[in-house]
This record gives sequence, structure tokens and C-alpha cells, in this order.
Amino acid sequence: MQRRFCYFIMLALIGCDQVSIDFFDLGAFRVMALVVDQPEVDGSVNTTVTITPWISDIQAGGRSVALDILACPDPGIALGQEPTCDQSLASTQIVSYADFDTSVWAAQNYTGALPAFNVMIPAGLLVGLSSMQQFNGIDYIVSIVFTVGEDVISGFKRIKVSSNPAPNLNPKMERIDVNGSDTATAEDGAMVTYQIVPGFEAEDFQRFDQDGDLVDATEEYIVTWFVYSGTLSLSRSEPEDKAVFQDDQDNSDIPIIVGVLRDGRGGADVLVR
Amino acid sequence: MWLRLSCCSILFLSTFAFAKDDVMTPAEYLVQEVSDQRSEKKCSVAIKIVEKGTRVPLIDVSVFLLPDGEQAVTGENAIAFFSELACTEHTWVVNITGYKRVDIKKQVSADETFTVYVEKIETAVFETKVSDNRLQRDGSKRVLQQDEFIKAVGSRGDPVIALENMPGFDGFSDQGGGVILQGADPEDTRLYVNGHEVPLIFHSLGFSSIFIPDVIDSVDLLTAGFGAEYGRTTAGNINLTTASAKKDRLHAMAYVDLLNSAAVIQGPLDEEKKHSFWLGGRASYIGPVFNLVTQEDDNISFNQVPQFYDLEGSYQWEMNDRWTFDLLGFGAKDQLKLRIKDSEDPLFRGDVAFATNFFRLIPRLRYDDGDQNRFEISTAHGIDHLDQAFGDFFFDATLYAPSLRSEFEHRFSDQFAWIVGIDTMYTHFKADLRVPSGTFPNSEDQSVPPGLRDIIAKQIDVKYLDLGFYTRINAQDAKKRWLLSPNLRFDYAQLTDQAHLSPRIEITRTLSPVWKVRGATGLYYQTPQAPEVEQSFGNPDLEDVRSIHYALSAMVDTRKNSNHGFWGDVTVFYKSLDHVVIDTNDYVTRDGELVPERYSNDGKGYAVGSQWAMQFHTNRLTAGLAYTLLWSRRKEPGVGYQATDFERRHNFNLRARYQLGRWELSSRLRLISGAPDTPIVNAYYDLDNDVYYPVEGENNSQRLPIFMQWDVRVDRKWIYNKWILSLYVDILNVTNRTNGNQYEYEFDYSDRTIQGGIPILPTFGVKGEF
Repeated sequence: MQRRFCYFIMLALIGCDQVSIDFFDLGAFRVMALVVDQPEVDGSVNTTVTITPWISDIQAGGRSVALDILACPDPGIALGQEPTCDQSLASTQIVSYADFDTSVWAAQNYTGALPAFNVMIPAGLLVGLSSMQQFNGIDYIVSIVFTVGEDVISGFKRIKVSSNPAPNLNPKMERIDVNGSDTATAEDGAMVTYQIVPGFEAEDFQRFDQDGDLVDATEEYIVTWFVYSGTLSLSRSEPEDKAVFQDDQDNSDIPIIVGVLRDGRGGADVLVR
Repeated sequence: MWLRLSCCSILFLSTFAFAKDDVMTPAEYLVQEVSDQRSEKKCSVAIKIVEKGTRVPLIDVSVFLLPDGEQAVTGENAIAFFSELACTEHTWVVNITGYKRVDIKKQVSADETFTVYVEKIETAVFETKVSDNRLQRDGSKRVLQQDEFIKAVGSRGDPVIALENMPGFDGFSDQGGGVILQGADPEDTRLYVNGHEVPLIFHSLGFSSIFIPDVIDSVDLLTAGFGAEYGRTTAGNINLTTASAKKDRLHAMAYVDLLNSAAVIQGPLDEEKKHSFWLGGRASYIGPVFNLVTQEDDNISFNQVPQFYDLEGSYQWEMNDRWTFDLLGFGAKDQLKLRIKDSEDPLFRGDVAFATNFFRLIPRLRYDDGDQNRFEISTAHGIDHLDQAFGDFFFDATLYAPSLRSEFEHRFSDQFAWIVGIDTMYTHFKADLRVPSGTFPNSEDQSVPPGLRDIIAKQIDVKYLDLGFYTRINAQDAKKRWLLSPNLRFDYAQLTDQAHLSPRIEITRTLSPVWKVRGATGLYYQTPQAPEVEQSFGNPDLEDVRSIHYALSAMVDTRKNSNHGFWGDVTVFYKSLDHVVIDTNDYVTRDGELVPERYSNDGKGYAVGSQWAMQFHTNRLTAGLAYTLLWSRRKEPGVGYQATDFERRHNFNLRARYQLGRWELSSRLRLISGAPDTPIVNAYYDLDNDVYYPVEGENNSQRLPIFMQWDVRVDRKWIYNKWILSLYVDILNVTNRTNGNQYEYEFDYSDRTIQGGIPILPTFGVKGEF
């Protein structure tokens, strides 16, 4: 009965739990972001996009990172399909990538951006779709398996392919302020606040809803914080939030804070502080 | 006394004065006359015999006057009358079987009335069971009476929680409001109050049912093979029957325990006791408990602590010796608000608000000529509200669902009866929602992190009718060895525009005064859930789910017409299901357009198992055992049979209660196989949404650890003349075992821990009643 399914809604809505998110504490190998230069491309032409992976491998730094990269149209992730590409299909691209030795990042504590790679998004993916579907766009995914020693992380990124004349752009972080200043630093034992300064406001955009109406919307920025040698009060925040940092007094290493700003539509930016 | 002394003095002196002569003076004669009259004065005594504590008047009991043993028996007014007694000190004795002996010594100087309170001996509760001369119907039904569920260990007195001790009742779903019967989805079970369906029978936060236990007369559990009186479900039903008001006098009850407090008042409204009522209310304070538990969690803060309330009342009118009318009203409210600062999915942070409230009014008219005919008609009216919000997501719904139930029974003889009835309801559902797709049951999207699903924003306004008619024949042979009960139900579901005839039959063979066997089979239909047939996110062409039940039982009852002895039953059951609604990625042409099908009726399933129930009762000891062995499987095209989410292979429940004077000790042990679980075999980091996307292994291919819980309860009663005080301590999970009900994974699914279940939970309560 309808009244009974309401309680399933409640369970579905509250998909959270009280487990602390240790994942955002840097130390072990982490993939923090994939930043593509064009989060949304014109589906009527072939487009080459450049993707930059951001990683961190502090505790076992100086290792070689291998990437296995596949790219293909979205297999139906929102419908429960595994977010990877079937290599046997002609529509799947295999992108070659040379292993990267993170020992060159010793000075930056083995945290930073890997060399970028290119993916060509073919034209014609929108053929056969309705004009509304073309405007809203479909996803072209890039699936990557990062292998570092025995650590393996599988990730994927979407690139929107549409006919939207105003494609999505990446958000921009001007800087990360410490205690409201761009020059201050976290001192041992001190409690400081971190806050990003966006380069511009979240974009306004349009999309067709399920009833076929063109509706206006605004992006919602979310900041993800990665931290090393200390604790942050928030793993995620909105731009106006301040994450309180407490230095780890048992660790003499220099704290590292990485902010990843996402716009909820595939755009991202990364800053390391 | 002074007069007597004076008279004696005068008499004495007169003796001397007139010693020479026996003739009395006039004064002497006067004194003698008064004295003679005085020695002949009689007194009457009326003794009312009442049970101590309950103040139940005891009729037909003997009171003896010592030493002669003159006897008087209490009449309808519980009074034993002694007349023509000398106005002096007397001794009476009241010595009733099952009660403590009472000796009364009293100086009687005038006609008087007094009350004697006799205390029941708790251990001598040998009760005579009066059997209804009506033919029993629906042998699948198991009933818990009030005195059973109020003292059931681990139940906190709740009638629905006490069903945990019944075979076939597998527990409560994680949603804290749904019940699981014989491995079926909670959505497949219907919940009723006095035969009318209600949206929930349990407060959403899962701590108690929506009624104060003292206003519930009994709770029925109907599983495989239930009769045509109920429909629109393939699993089973739970029905709460409210109690009639006590009419002898005004009564009141109030209790306080760790989680909530309640009070009930009831009694007659007029001197003739044709009108009576009961009224009760309950409020919770589990909020502070919640706050205490979560205060160290920086991620959660309560804007409004969890609370629930319920209010219920009933009015009854005995119009005459055949007609009665009653009006039942009840309502419940649950609410909470909290703020989640951070969670694994960045979309799920923000304010959470949850509130449900509903009420029902159920007027009912009944006729019983005490001979051949019985008739009853009742309707239910009310509104349900549900408001849920989580950040930008919300679901606000209003449901209006009036229902009608009516039944006529004609008994042609003691062996043959015919029953016909109506069971119909109308639903008007309105909702405004903005939710992630896959929120709805059976949807494959449920495996997708909510942040990755499409958003559905919609307003819904749906109206539909569920018509139901049924008929039953109960036929018994002259020797009452065979009871044949064919029954038929007709349903029309406007939501799917489908009509069904559901034949069912039940046969009972009495082998001896102790043994019976019963077989039942029948056809059952259930409409898909409304979201599954909704135009924009469902499949409007779905058909009703169908099930065939088979049940075979053997029953033994050595109690005869008492409550002492052994009784039990074993049942083997099988349910087949087809046209089960499943999620699909196929496309279909609808109205000339190629659209996603979303749901189809291509699923199949079955449930098979065995249930054992045994109970043993003596003066002091009651022991019971319930065991269920169960397979519950579903199948989709291209996939073999897999365990459902609710399949618990073994469910073992052992309990005992021992009475020691005013003390009662009880204990319960439950052992339940772990629930099926789907393992996470891989996970992908969604670098756009900053959430891990799990990849599930074979559906329900692993099991959670075994559930084991030992509960202990102690009751103590103090019986005063006019009221009773009770105290109980109920300790759930005495061993503090972690009985997790789900695995909790790390953010990146690299590790997991078992979560859920209650820790050791002592609760105590105090109850006063008169």
C-alpha cells in the first residue's frame, strides 16, 4: 500500500550512518580527484578532453603508479550497472598511460597531480535521442584502475555529452585561507580554520525535467577536505563553512590540507595547502 | 450497661425487700419486662464478599457463622445475609477455594453491612475455560489474550511485540514498523484494528504498538491458509481486538516505565450500566534516551528529540439484549527532527524531519440473538499524514482511506452455519515528493548510492477502490468429528483494474478429545504497491501478485476445559507465488511510445517450512516453545531461486514463567539464524560525486551472524483492599550480545563491522490500578 512504502522512503532518504570518514585522512594511497578540462562537450563533434588525476601516497611515497584507463558511453550506472567499460565492445577506448614514479614528489610529500592524459569523445553519441535528452546530455565515462604496489583503487569519472549551448565549466578555487588569511599557516598545536575562496559563484544552468519543462537551477558547491598530520572537523563542507584543523602533536610532519571543489555536474578543482 | 446495672440492683434489692413474699411490685415488674425485651433483640448482618485488589464481587460463595455453622450464600450483589442474630459478638469464616481463608470476628449491636476482602491465591489459578458453542473458524489464527501478552517476557507488555513468541512471526523489519511473517516482505502483511486496516500498528520509532496494552483484548496472528475474511495480501495478517469497558464500577490504571507513561480510565456511565466507556492516553520520553545515546556523535544533533503519543477511547451502548453499539477512536503521532552534519554521501547532510500522525473513528453496530443469527457492521474513517524531509529531499503525503466491514452469520444448527461478509476500502492518496529514484521497493536502483540516482519531483493524487466480499460455510457432522469449511472471496482492485475469485477450504478432523488434524488451502491475491503502477515511475500495466497456500497441522490439547495441561501444534506449510513484481530494464511500447518498463510481473517465489508451538501450564509454571523452519525464495528470469531478505532458516523461542507467591519470574531465549546478506565484492570511487559505488556479489549469498538473545523479567505485585500495585523489571539481552542486523562498511568498502541490535537493556515499570 502507498502508505507503507512511505516508510521505505524514509529508510532510503536516511542512507547515512555514524561511521567517521577515515578515508579522508591522508597517509595511505588515495585518489583525490580527476579534473577534466571540459566537464561538458558538444556531442555533434569529436572532442579531445584532458584529464588530470590527483593522488597522494605519503606513508609509502616514492612508488610507481600504474593506470589502466578505459573510456566508453555510460553503461547505465544509475540503473545499477557496474561503472566500468567492457573491453570487448568496439565503443570502448583503451587509453595507454606510462607508469609514474612519485619519488619526484618527495618535497611535496608525495601529493600532487599526475601527468594528464587525453580521451577522445566521439561525435554521434546523441543520435536517436529526443531534443530534450540531447539538451540534458548523456554521460561518457572514463574508468581508471590505479595500482600502487598492493594498493588498488578503481574510480570513474563522467563527461557530459550534450547539445547544450552553455556547457558546464569547472569551478575555480582562488585559494584556501587559513584563519581567514592566504598567508597564514597551521602551527604545531594550534587550532586553525580552513576555508576555500571560490573564484566565481556557482553557475546557473537549465535542464529539462521529467515532465518536459525547461527549469532553471543553480549548482551547489561541495568541498571535500583531505588532511594529513592532524584532524579536520569536517570531511565535506560548503564554501562558506570553515573546517577547524587540529594539528597532530604526535606527528612532527608538516600538515597537508587538500581541498577539492566540485560543482555537482562533473566539474572540479583541486588546491593543496 | 448502666441501665442493666440499675435493673440488677433494683432486682437484687427487691429480692431482699420482698423475700418473704414472691409477688413483684409494679416497679419490679417493669424492670423485669425491659430486661426480657432486651434479651430478645435481634440484629441483621449483611456481609459483602469482594476480591482483594480487583474488587470483583464474589457471588455464590458461602459464608459460615461459627460455631453453629449457619451458612449464607452471596447473591448477585455478592452479599451474604444473616438475620435474627443476637446482638452480640459473632465470628464468621469465609473459605473459598482459590482464596485465602478469612475469619471475621465482629461485635454486632445493630443492623449493619460490612465488606470482607478475600485475597486470591495466585498459584491456584485453575480456571474453567468456557467454550463458545459457535463453530470455530480459521484454524490458522493464533490468538494471544491480554493476560498472556501483558506478562510476556521481553515484550514490555506490548501485544505486537509479544507475537515474537509465536511461530511464524519472524520479527520486525529495520524500518521499525513493519512485521515479517513466514519470511515475507513486511509490505505483504496487513495490519488491522477490529477488522479495519490501519497504516501502522507500531509506532514508527519501533518501541511499542499504537495502543496501551490494557485496552487490547487480544491480538490475532493469521498466516498460511488464512480464511476469506481477509484478503489483499499473500503473506498474513495481524488484527488487534480492543477490549470492552468494564461495567461493574469505575476503574483506572496508570503506569510509568523508562520509555513512556500511560493511563486508562473506564467504567459505566449510567446506573443501569447500559452505557460504558474507556479512555486512555500515552506519551513517550524516549527522546532524552536518544539524546543520551547520540550526544557523543558530533555528526548528529537533535532539533527535536524523538517523541510519540497515542490516544484511544471507546464508548459502548447495550441497546437491548440483542443490539449493541460501540464507537472506537484512536490516534497516534510520532515525530523527530535532527541535523546530520556529515555522512558518507555528501548529499545526505542537513536537517532531517520525520512526522507521522493518523487517527481513526470506528463505529460498529452488532446484533446477536443468542440463537441462530449474528450480524455486525462497522466503518472506519480517518486521515493519515506523513511528512519526511532530508535536506533538499522530501516526501509529504496525506491518505484518506475509509473502510467498511460487515458480516452476517446464520446458524442453521449446531453443526451448520453460513457466513457472508463485506471487506471494502477506498483510498485517496495525495503526495508531494522530491526523492532519489530507486527509493521505492523492488527497485534495482536501491543498490546505487542515492546521490547517483535520478531525482524524481512530482505531485501525486490517486484514488482507488478495493472491493471485497466473502462467504463461508461451516459444516460439522453429527458426531463432531469432521469440520468442513469452504470459503470464497471476491476482490476487485481498481488500482490494477483486476477482479479475482479466491476459493479457500479448511478441513478439520477431530481424532480424539485430545488430537485434531487440519488441512487448509486457498488462493490469494495482492495488488502491487501504488508507486509500482504509477505512470511516471512505475508500470501501470502491472497485474496482481498471486499465491496459493497449503497448510497441514496436527494439534494436541490435554487441557479439556481448564487452563492446566499441555497443548501444542505442528504445521507444515507451502506458499507458491507468481506474478511477483520485479525491477526490469526492458523497454515496452505504451501508447505508441517506447518507454522503460521499470517493473514487470515476471518474478516467482515460494515459502516452505514447518512451525512448532508447545505450551505447558501448571499451578506455578508456564513453559512454552516455538520453532519455525523456513525457506523463503524468489526467482527472476535468467536467475535461479535466491533467498529473500527475510529468510531466517531457524527461529527458536523458549520461554518459561514461574509464580512464587506474589513474585513472578520469567525468562526467554531466542535463537534465530542470521538474515541473508548481499556481499560487496568491489567498489568504485565516483570521483564526480565523492562517493564510493559498491558492486554487489550474488544476491543474499551470505548470512549475518546468528541472533541470540536471553531476556529476563521479574514481576512483583502488592494487593491492597481497593487497589493493586505492580512493579516489573524487564532486562533484554542479558548477555549483552551484539546481534547485528546489517554490515556497516567503511567509506571505501575496504572493511566492515556488524552493526545494529540492542545492547543489554534493562527497563522497569510501576503500575497502579483499581
